[in-house]
Amino acid sequence: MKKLLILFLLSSNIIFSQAGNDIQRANIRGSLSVLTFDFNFDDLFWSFSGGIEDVQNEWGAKLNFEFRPFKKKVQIREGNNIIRQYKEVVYFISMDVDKRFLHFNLWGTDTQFFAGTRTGFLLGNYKGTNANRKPKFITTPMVGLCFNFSDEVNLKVGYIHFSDGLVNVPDSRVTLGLNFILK
Amino acid sequence: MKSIKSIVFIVIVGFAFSHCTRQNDDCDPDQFCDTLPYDSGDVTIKVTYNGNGIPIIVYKGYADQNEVLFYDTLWSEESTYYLPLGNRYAVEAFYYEANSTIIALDGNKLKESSFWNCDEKCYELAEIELDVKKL
Repeated sequence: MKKLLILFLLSSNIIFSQAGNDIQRANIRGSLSVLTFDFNFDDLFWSFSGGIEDVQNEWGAKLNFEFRPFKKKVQIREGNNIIRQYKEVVYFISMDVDKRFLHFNLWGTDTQFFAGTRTGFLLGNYKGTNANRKPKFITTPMVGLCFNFSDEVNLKVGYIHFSDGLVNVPDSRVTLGLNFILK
Repeated sequence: MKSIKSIVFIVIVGFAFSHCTRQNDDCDPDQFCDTLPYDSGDVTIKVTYNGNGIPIIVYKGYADQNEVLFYDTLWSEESTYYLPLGNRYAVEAFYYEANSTIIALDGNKLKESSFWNCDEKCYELAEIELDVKKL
């Protein structure tokens, strides 16, 4: 037991000291976004986000509150033969982690690729019933382009695969977000 | 910066005054004013009619509370029912297809509808629309 404790203390010391070095190298800044939309031809979500952006190592993490700004008729398969149709209000509380990489010039703008994941819970309710939407855990990969207009402003345009379980809405969506990196 | 503050101040004051004076501005002595409150209102149910009757269930409250008000079959795109005010109503419409049944649900509260005219409260027929048209 004593040996284990000593081993833990030694390893944690190494880990934390490495983390300390990493933090010194990193340049962490806050990030905000109020104009992020995930959409396809059948649906649209609006997102408010806040998080951190390591501008040195070009990765970011942020918390999102997404919602559909209107009530939408949706169909959900209940069994083999039953499809329920509701007017739905939904919220998606999620976290994004993404990494930007490569720099190239596209239409005179410094552009990068980005890749990451969005993970969270989809919640909601329906008109005409007290029954809420069954909370759904969703994790989706994100890939796309990041247009760096300046050190403080970028626009991310990408693809997400958002499996929300709706019969009448495809899972493929475009994500479009204007991000402000705070000083 | 100063001019922005002035504009914001003027806009806020403008909104405040417009709200205070709205009742006096809305006075029309010739307008018909029904001062007796209604006890019921119109609930219009809209369905997708394809030549076959569409069975519906109308609930008082939320559908999951299961307080059935009545059953009906609609033979047109919409039907209107005169129901008591102050209640929430929900409707389910059933569409039978070859391999599946689609159950469409909608609900809303039927609230009293009124407006002010010359400092008098005037009542009008309250209406809600429950849209259970198939996607």
